[in-house]
Amino acid sequence: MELNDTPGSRGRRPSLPVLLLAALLLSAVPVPLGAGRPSLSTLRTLSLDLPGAPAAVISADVDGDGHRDLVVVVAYNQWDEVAVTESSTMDDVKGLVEVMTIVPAVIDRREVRLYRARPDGSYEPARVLPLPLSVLGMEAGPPGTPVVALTDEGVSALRLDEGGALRLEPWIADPPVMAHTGNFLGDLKLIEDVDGDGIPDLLLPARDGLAVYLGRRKDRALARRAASRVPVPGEAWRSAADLEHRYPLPKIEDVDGDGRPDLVFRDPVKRWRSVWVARNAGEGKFLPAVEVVLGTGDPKGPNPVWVGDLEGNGLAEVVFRQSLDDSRRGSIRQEIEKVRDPHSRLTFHRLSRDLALEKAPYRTFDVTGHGFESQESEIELPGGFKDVNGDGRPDLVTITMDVGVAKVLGSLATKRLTVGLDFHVWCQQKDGAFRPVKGLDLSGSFRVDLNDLRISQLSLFSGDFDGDGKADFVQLGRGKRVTIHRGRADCSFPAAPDMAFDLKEEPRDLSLVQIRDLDGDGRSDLMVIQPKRAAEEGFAPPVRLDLYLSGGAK
Amino acid sequence: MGSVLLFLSALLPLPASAQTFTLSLPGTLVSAAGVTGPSGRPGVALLLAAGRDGKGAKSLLFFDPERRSLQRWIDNLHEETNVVAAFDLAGNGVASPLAGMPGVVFAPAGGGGSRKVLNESNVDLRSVAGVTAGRPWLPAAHTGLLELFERGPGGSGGALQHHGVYPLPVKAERQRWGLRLSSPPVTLLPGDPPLFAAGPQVAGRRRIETLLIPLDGTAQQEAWSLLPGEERLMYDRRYLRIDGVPVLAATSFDKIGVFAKKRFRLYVLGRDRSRKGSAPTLAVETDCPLWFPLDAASADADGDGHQDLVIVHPGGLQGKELLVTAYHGTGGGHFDSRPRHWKLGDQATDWLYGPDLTGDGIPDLLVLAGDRLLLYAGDPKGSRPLAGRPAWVASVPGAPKPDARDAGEGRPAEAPGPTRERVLTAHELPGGGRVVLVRGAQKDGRTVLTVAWRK
Repeated sequence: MELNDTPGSRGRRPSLPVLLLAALLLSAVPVPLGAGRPSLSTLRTLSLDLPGAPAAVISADVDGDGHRDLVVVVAYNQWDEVAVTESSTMDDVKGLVEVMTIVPAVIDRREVRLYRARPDGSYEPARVLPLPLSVLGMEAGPPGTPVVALTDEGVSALRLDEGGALRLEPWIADPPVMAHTGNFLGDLKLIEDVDGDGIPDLLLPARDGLAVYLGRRKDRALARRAASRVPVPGEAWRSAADLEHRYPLPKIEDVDGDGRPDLVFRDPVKRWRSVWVARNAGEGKFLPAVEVVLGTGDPKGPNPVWVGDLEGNGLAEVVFRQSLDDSRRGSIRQEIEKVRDPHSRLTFHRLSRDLALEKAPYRTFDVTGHGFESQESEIELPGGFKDVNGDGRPDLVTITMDVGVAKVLGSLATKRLTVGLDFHVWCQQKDGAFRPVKGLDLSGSFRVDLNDLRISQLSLFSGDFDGDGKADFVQLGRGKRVTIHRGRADCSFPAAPDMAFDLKEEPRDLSLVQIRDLDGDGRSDLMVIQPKRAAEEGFAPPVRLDLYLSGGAK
Repeated sequence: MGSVLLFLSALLPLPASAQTFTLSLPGTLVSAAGVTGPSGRPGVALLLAAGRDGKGAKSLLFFDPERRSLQRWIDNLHEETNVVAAFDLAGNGVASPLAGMPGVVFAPAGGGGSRKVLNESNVDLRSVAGVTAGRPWLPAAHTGLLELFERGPGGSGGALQHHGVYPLPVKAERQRWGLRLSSPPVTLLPGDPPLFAAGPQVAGRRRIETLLIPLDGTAQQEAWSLLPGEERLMYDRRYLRIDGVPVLAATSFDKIGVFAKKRFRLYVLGRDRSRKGSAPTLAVETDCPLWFPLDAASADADGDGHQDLVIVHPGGLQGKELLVTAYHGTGGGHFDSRPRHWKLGDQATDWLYGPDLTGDGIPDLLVLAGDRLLLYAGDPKGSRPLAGRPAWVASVPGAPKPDARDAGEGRPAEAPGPTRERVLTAHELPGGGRVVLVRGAQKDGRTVLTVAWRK
């Protein structure tokens, strides 16, 4: 009997006999809590000096030697010279003459730096490739194309020549919708496994639809031809204030219970009130998206705030939130109190295999704190549903704030706020109930940039520093001191840290800290961006990238 | 086309140079533009919504301020119709109304009907700020492109056709729901030669980019401005022309605090090959708290032939004052450092500086305070830029209360920064007249206008 499942695949699960056997083995050999658990190791520190802010930090085996290298894309500006040719008249010269003027100018620069990993865990000095402004994004791909760059023309693969030089190899000719914008987006996240074969695939946002490029089995590289092109539902243009074009990108998740991941698009205007589902038809193809209307947007009624598979059975649930706070406008102090400590009721409804919303809720409970984005807000808080204890089913994290009137008034103009945050965890039980975890002290004081709040940047629960599959809580926001509290099966975290260390410097704000596995050892690492003083006012400052790598000295 | 004379309320005292009266509308006012009416008389085209809050089917009416009459022009316009603009579609020098909705533009077709004169996706006549009346083209912008449309062949039965296309910068961002591609707002600057400005866009923290788009065939220009210190750009941003020179008027702030005030920065926009950014030609502290809006206008406030800079904003922590400061222009976007000040000790719901309603050629100030509309005449030679007493006062039925204001139709609810609902609008009429409309609400939600008209 074998577990015919590939890491990262979707839809295939161990058969019932396998599960029974596993349960029997577990019950036959009593294991004390924590025994046999991987231990936390000391962190190796490494600092990289960069000429500007890292726009992307990618962990990938570029040279195919089995070690995960570090690829860093840097954006900065510097003085350079540009030649300007003009037609002009001159004394004693008939007609126009061409005059070339050399002008000093501030020029935007981008480059990709490859730090090759050595077997001992250190990195070779950087190999640098200047990037043209036509490179729009870069992320890790399947092993045959380990780093893929989205360009004005389509996709290129980052390659290391035999001579040790970096180059971009044109791979796919299919211009994306953001071609010729000159913007580099480090957080595109276009690589996902959409066919469930364990090989990452690419969803390319093309002008005429979302193009699906599968990862090939034969060489584990991206296919050069699209398997399909999915019409994008909900695409919207607005020209009243800002001129904007909204192009939805899907969440990839099985929501109809057939074991194959579907494309779930959120409406970019109606938010969760309307979603479109393009069902997986196999081999990288998808059925036309169907709209699932979930709410009307009545601010006083329950509003949909989340859609996804809560129970781990491949079928989607929809979570509605209704505020329990007085909807009447109060004084500034009363309004601040609502912001600090909001109370709401969550109701859970099931979506059928036919994507019909069941009218009656199957579960209802009240929570305190922020867990979901508000209807119109672009601000993303680090709460919401996430699998805290590694059982494959999402738990709920909410956040309460300690913020005063003056701070809020100030933040409206500055978009920056220093705020005390406390985290509350509701752990999903085997029967699907959510039980609040008592006795947690996860509070901290955080400087946050309200213009740049993303879930990936507030990944306090995303770290797994011991590689046991359970999220560990990283306590930030207390100066230089960082503590790691190992997650338990009951979603609790010990009050006393399992590990503590000091950063070289206190992070300037929370968005400059990232937690993820950078060296591919299955354990999370910590990355802190430390801006230094700019050489000249108005210029992008150079940066020191401090890496705190788990796994200890190698 | 039958004329409909609606309720005209009690006539208010008539000042020598302007008349004021009220007018109840059979719907909610969405948009207005100065045009020539069906019978050739100057007036205002009013786009009305059947329902509250600008929703429901739309209709277009002609308002003749001299006769104080309303006349139906187009019935049953699509409910997404959101703007009316004046344009000489027939090529006979007559400014006719065009009603626009995203993707479609309508013109009156007689008998209360309408006809499509443009059907092109992404065209929205609200997309370009600035006054377009009197131009031989209509601008519309969307992500990545500024398009101009001109009169096509066919005389009064003709349609709009492409006149020119100009690329706009596009910024791409990843959002939770997908990709957001956006271009900066586009403004048609006043005066000639025609010039569009796309921006401002902040690069890094202190550099500000504006793309200048001329229509004379010369290349687009990048104009770079530099904030003087560790300060941030705020949301009061306006492109103006001062003595023909394009400028960016903007505010910034340094430190946050209850008593912190906005800083005012004026930048002359010119080609900057270095892209480093030019310093402001005028950099002053204001008495405007951070949470109130600040207006900047260019006008010859002292009658010397040079355009001056006038800034208007509420003062005091609760905005119980309205402050006006006029900087004497010395030419080339430069100003005398000794401004003239004027203060009103009253809380203004809305205000409008610029229209000359006294007929002396000097811009005046209209202030809506509570349910009163006050006109303060411009004073070109006095120690203050405006008269100390109002030239006239009119009562405004249905005036909005400051705490009941909402975003209003045509403005996105998430519009960032300090804003106010604009209930005061001024419209130039063909032939030289001028109308100011003040939007109030009847009990049933329909609009009641207070009209100030000068022939």
